[in-house]
Amino acid sequence: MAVKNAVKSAVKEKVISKDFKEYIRDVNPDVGLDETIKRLTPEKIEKTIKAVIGGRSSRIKAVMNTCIHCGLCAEACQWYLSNDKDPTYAPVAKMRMTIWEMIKRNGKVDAEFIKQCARIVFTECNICHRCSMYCPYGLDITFIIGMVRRICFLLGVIPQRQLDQAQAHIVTLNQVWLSQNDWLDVLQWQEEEVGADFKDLRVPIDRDGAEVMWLPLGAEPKTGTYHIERTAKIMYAAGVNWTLPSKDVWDSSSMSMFVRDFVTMQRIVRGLYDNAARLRIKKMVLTE
Amino acid sequence: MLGYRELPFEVMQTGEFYYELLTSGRLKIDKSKKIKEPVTMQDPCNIIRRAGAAEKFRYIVNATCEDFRDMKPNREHNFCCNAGGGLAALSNWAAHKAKGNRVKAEQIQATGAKIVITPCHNCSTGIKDVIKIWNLGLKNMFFDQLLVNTMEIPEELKIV
Repeated sequence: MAVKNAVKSAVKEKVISKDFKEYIRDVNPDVGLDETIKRLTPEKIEKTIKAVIGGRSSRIKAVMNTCIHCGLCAEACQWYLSNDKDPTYAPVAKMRMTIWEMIKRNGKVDAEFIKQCARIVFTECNICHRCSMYCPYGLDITFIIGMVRRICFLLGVIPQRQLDQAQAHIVTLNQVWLSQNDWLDVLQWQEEEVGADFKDLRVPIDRDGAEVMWLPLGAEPKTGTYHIERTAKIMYAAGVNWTLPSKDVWDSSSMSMFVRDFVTMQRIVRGLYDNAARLRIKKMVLTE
Repeated sequence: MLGYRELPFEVMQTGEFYYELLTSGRLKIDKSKKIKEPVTMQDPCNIIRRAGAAEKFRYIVNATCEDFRDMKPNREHNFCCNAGGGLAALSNWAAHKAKGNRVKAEQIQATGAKIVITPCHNCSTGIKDVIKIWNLGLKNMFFDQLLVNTMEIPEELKIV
């Protein structure tokens, strides 16, 4: 009960940004944001921002100078519409409060500012591309948001659960820390499960020259095994010659893409293609 | 490593593959098993807005359900489920996400559907949150569930 009350009282407090007085939000404790900013130094922040923006500053400046603040992107954003048209939720505001300010101050921003940026780009934007679609100048707002995500990622300031998945991808190339043993074990277990419903059903692993290589979402073998079971049934009923790879990479999701971890993104795609080449499949079917 | 330009294989989303199975007649739908309750579908941003699979997904839904009602706006103009972009992982921000999700709740409610079909895992998470927090009292269903429930099972595969 005491915990519940503590959570309630914490929620009543508001965070008011010291850089932007209009930016008022509920307190939402997250170790990934609150603790990690303590490690930052002004030099580190400036160095990271300059490294990421680097040669691309002209592309960002083109966006900054072209934007006429017409507000069409705001009307396209479900965050803005759902929060009673609070202007701080508008996509253009999300850019202004993050990368425009970083450029304006030449990278000289403090840790508290980085935390606010992380909150904006990681918890208030889905990179759904709707704002970019409605922008009359076709400005790629999601590219800018992604760039801010990369800055925050390199500084280690990411909401904890996203950071955990991103790190899982770095280490295991799947989002749930699943080892190859467990992966194979789950597939064989699923084969036994579905065997009760269908005659001679297989969950084929590493079948050479199969028509389809199906790749699940990382969470499926861990918490959603029924998806593997159902897919096996569909493939079997349709008579598809399908397979799953035994080796990494088998996870079709990529948190690395959401945090713009380019190195791991590349490792994931390379792993998927290597599996496809090794098994000489015709179609790669991905869940995500 | 393979080159990126001309891949020797096709890459597609599961829903797009199911569409192929249905149109080529490899997978048959049992008409008597079709879902009778009104359904609506969440258009996933990446697969619809960026990859343009809107009509293919509608084909699957119309093949398996009797009463399909589109959300407004729909197809590439649809709103995100609010779990995209890696936000699905943030379960400790659920209340914050739900607050920014009112548009979706209103959209779903306006269709009067009883089931929301979600072709993407992120959407599934997002829509579940919306249904729970805004008390919409709906079910959500995945494509694989939809097909397993309605497909014809060839006689020779059945266990008697």
